[in-house]
Amino acid sequence: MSLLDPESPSFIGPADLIQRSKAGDREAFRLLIERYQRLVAMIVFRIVPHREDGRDLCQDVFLKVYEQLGTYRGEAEFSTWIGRIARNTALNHIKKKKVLAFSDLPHEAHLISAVTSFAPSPDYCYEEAVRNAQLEREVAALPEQDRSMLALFHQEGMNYEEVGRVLGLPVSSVKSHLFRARKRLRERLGAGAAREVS
Amino acid sequence: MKTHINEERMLEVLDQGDTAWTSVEQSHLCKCPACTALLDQYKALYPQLSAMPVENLPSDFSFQVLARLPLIQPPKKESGHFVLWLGLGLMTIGLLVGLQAFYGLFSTLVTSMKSLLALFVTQMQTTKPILGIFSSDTVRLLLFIPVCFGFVGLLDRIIRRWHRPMLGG
Repeated sequence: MSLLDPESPSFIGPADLIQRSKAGDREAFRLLIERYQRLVAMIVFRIVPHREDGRDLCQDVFLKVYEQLGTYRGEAEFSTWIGRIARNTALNHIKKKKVLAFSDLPHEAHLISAVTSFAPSPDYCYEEAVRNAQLEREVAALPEQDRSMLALFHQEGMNYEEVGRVLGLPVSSVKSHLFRARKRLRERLGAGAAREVS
Repeated sequence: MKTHINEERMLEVLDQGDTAWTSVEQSHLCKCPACTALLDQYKALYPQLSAMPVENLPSDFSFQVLARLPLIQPPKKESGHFVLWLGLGLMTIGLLVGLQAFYGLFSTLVTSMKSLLALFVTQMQTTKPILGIFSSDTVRLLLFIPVCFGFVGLLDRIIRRWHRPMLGG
């Protein structure tokens, strides 16, 4: 049982971890990192495709979080606050270094990246890997904002409002962007069954 | 329902957990293979999107970050702007004392309040247009008060912005 497992009797909630981290408790901050590293990785790697750069950036994000923790007042969810830091850090990196964004990479690179990122498992099947690689490629071809939106909404389970707060967009924009992105993905990936409007 | 279900509506319902269909929409879905096929495509897309691979960070990632922490300053304590507000308060008191010393501000204020009250009573008694009120020194003085509040509010915003580090900047 982990301290981050809500089922565990010794579970420590995020609010406690934040308070303790603010007081200089390094172990609390480490647990905070473990709790949010998946979210940060998800946002950073949707923007920066290079693995090494991405990992360094994830570290930079948490260093910034540590530096700025004293200014966090709980007005927004911690996940949206940290998500904004992650996104801004990754976007600044792209801007400063003028590195290739994910969508600039050739399609083959996406395919290789997506296929190799799957850990082999007993029920691993090639068709599924190819299908997922195709999805990954199509998602990578979307604008950065749409990619981040899909990740936050579908993978992180955030609602429209939370996604909007991370990306600095109103709910209406989040809805319309999500709609366009998923429609495009369906059209590219779907069976192509056309629907006649009666 | 003769027309097909809007795609945006489909996604809205799926986002809410597939339970928000109206009875009309449900009956349409039962009869319309095109809409059902489209809905199925979206339903198939959702788990795929949720299961997209996320880059795994090393298992010792949190320790790697901690190892870099001594190189930077500890978290900044929330200041609460107490010192700044104390300074501003002292400056305001100094200003008021100065104004009182040189111009007799408070006696002017008392006189002004009295004349404002008198003016108000006169206005209530007569049918003079209320716009005439702006010619009064008292009203000008009173208009000065919201301007002061506005100035203090603006100052507060500037201080807060100055204190809040840029996110990720």
